[in-house]
Amino acid sequence: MVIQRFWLVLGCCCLVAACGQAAEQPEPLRHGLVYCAEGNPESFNPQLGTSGTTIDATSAQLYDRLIDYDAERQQFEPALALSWQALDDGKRYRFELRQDVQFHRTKWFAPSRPFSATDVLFSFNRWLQPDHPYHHVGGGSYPFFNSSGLIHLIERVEAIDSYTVDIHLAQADSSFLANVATDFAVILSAEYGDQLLQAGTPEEIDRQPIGTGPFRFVEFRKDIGIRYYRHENYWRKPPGIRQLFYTITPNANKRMLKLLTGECDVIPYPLVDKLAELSTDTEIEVQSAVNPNIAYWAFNTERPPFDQPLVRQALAHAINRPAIIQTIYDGNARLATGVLPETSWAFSEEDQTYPFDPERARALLAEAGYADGFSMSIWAMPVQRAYNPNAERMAELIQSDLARIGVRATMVTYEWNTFRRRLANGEHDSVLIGWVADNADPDNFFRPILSCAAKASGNNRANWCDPEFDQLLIDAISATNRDQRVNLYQEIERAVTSAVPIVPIANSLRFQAQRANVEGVELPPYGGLSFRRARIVQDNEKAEQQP
Amino acid sequence: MPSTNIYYQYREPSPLRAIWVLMNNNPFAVAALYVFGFFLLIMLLSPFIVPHNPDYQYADAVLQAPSWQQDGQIRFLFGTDDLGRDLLSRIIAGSVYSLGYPILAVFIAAVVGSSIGAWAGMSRGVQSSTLNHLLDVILSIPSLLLALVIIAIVGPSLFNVMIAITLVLIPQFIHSVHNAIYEERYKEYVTASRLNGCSRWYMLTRVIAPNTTTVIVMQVTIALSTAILDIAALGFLGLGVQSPAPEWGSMLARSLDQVYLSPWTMVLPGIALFLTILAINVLGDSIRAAIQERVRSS
Amino acid sequence: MIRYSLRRVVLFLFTLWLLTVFLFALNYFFPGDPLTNMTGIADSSSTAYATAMEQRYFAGSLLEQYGGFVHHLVQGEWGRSLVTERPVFSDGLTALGASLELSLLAMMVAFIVGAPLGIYAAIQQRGLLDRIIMGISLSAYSIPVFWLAQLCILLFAVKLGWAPISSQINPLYDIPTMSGAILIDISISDYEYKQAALRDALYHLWLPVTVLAIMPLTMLMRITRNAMLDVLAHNYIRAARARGLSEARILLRHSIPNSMQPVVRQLGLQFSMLMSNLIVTEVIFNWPGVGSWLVKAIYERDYPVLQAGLLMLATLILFVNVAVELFHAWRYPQVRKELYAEH
Repeated sequence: MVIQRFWLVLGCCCLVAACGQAAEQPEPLRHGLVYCAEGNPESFNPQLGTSGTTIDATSAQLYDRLIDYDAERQQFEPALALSWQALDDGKRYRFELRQDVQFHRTKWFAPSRPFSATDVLFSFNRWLQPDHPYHHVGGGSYPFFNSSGLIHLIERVEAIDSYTVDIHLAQADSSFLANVATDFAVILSAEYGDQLLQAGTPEEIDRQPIGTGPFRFVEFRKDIGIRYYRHENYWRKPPGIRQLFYTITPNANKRMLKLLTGECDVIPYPLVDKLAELSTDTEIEVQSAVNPNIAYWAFNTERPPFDQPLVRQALAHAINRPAIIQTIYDGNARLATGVLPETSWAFSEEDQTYPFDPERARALLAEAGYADGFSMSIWAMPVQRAYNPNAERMAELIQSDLARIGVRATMVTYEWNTFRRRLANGEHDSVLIGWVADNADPDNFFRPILSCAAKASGNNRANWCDPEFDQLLIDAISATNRDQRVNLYQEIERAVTSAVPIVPIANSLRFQAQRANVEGVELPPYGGLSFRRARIVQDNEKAEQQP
Repeated sequence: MPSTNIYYQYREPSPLRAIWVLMNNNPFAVAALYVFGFFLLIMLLSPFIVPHNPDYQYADAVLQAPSWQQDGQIRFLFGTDDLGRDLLSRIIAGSVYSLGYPILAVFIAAVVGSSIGAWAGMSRGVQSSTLNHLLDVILSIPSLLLALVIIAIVGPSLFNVMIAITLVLIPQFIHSVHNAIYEERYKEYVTASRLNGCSRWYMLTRVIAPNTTTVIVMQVTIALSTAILDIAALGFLGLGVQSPAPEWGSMLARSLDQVYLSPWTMVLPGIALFLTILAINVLGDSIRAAIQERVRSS
Repeated sequence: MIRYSLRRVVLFLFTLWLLTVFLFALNYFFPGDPLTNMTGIADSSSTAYATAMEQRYFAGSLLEQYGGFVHHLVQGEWGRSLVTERPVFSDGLTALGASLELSLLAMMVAFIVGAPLGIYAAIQQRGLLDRIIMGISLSAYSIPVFWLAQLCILLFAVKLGWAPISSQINPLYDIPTMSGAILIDISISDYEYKQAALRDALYHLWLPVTVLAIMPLTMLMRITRNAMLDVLAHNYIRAARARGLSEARILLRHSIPNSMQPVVRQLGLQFSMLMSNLIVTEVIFNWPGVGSWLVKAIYERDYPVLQAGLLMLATLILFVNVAVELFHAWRYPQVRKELYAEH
């Protein structure tokens, strides 16, 4: 019996192997899209995280925001809010909400009412009010809202009626709308929150998410994938694909091979040195988008010997950054000349970095009292990001550069979420990481990663806190004249250069590769990936297009 | 061969020597011995024969193809890896990690394991039988799994990997030596020497031990191939020797990032690993065959 | 037989007991708080931690703690993962299902292909084919599985496109995970596109099964050949020939059944070796089994999962070994005599 079964299986295998895919694909495959993601999301609530992986898997798929930012036309667009206006000299914003927006209907939640002001209050108060029943669920830290200052900026959120919401600010702030339009300011369901609270399982809100977005969550299996189905009652035009699956594929090479074999339809961060080869394949298309990002090497300035600026300067002189650009990015990146990338309006040509000079590095080390060098760890993130395609290789390059000045470096890496947790605890000596801006304001390159507030929220990887520097940042954000701001940001750049809490390495493009029959997967410059307009071009459609 | 002695005196060759003679007749075994010797030589001479510093990164020659390919350079015989390091030098230097350290681990495990095995083999009764059962059980659990657990406790590093592998190999030696002695100790020649009043120590070292050397030699080859494979597998999983050490398993793992366009970075270290293990396995197999032959002919 | 079986079962239980002691001790060996390592409750100030402390008698002596540990273990309360905070036991069961499917299929392939080839080699003794088969088997046995798997992926999946690179099935087939074994899950589901899903699962399955089967296959081939040669040299075969039995009849009725005895005895050992390759193979093929689960847990220092993975793999291996031994003793009574005589 068993043997018969076996031959049957073997026969089928041969058959399948010989025929390859059947001529006519079954329905799930024709209307489904597989995205090979680079890692597991931390949770399904973007409010709680800052990692791009989490944002890509949640924000644009499961949720909506009050307003969206259209990067192309450089203006805000209505989303869940139909219109908005600034009142009281910019200290109060009024949002008129859209009606008849449906929440997801799933196995674990059946909404009884459409989206209303209650949901806005619930979503904002969760991170605003420390005594909100959900504030401490999921760790109680809201890094984006902390480091962007939104938590302190918003005094309260008030529902005028079911479809009107007022947000009161402590002072006028030009970055407020930009921050509300980011991927972090999503709208959750208050009704779902109540239901879970009654059931005594509030933590499920971030694991079994409910939103108003174009896709609804079905299941998540760690290291396997995330399944989404189309939200049929989506308030915009529902997506063109019925099913969306995120396959977790951390290995960049495997991702690329899976794209070639058709196991993935879309992949993020393809290996840069393979891009040329991928592009020539007519089945594969490579997209690139300007991505306001910076890869840097941060020193934990709380740990000796990195508390000495001399040591940090020595290390900055010790690494051969042009070689890194060649080897790691294959030349597909720009050598950073400061923290701000070229695309920022506050950027200036002045080079604010340390040239490669091992002799000088050794001299500086000797001056700091470490003539014989020391041992240190370089933490390298285990995932690819737009700003850094391979941090582990980069760490090895730096390792050998440091060996030349007598510093013995070991590379440390953990799984991405563990890595971030331990980083936030400050267990590292130095780390290769980076930052992708959430909006176009240059402030977003400094406050979230180098301010004292960012240190408190665990996002300041250098653990660097300088009150003078913070004052500079505040001056820069409250200045209204753009030229004045440009000058202030130049001063800030120089302050970073002299203290070197971080060594800027590169600004790069964000790449994405996809099968040629996938359309409408956009790469927005700010924020995460969206599959809302994605569709799969069927073979017969293609035939029709060709006369 | 006619005896040139006047007195007929036939000296029985020692078991080890008998096996050596038998193995010499097997061309595969001889070839394997040469291959193994070759790798051993490379390993011992590695600091002197590497053409380049294995850790030096040639930024101008990243992922250079091997010299026999069109775009290869003779400067880098086996090509370079993704950081521009000479692959030949890395393979040669890697033999220290992938062959040298396993040999060391096997040596320590053999000394410790054989002593315990001998003690257990000479002792009688409950303790011996319990030990045997326990060993049966431990040995049925794959060595890689045990090594993984040890690494999970102490964390990955070269030293810890060595500890893990050595600890994992010890039971294998205890088991085989214990069994070998157990089999010998009730044979007539042993009984005879016991009746002669030999001490236990003398019995162990002079009477029984010579007849168990072949078993130990065979066990050494098995353990060596296990140790090499396990160290390489741990390196492959990123839980073994840490970068930038050119261990073959971790070289294989890192080659996965460019295998599609630069297959040599995966194929060449793999071949080195494969040939080493093959040579050891062929040797072990020939020794086993020779032992059987000897038993049959005696 | 009963006496023998009892002895084996008692030994098995004794080993399991040792394993639990070892696991219990591991919680103290691992870095961090033993109770956290055991239950996966990271926050030592939470009420859940306090409850767990009470339930597991953590205020008491080590012996009491061990009692609590075993009690929870037996009840399937293996704590929660430190990373996902999901219950370890239920996650582990599906992982086990996936591993079992892969390993049993590989073992089956190894036996069904390896044994006949070994018999064939033995009949052709010292012939060209015999030498070729033996040569191939020795080389195949020496190939590190992680290298072989990569070569196979490169050849069959990337160059030829005969197999996918990884995972159990095209994820767009929405098969609910019940047992973890994908073929079973598809069969018991009421999925609309069952046939297509089954085909797709087989298409994903054949390469990892083949990679995994190669090592035990070559070993079984060698063992079968040697056993067959031993049997063929026996007098009863000569006697059968003298009686004028046909070669085919001798082969089918006498030599093959008898030569299977050492082969069966080796199955347990082969399974153990297969499990060690399984760990690596699962990692390479992204197979959601216990092996990749365990390795991931080591990377992430997820101690509750690590213990569970270890316990599952070790128990499975021990169980298969005992089962094989019992079957062996039941099927070949002559062995039992040896076993009794030994003690």
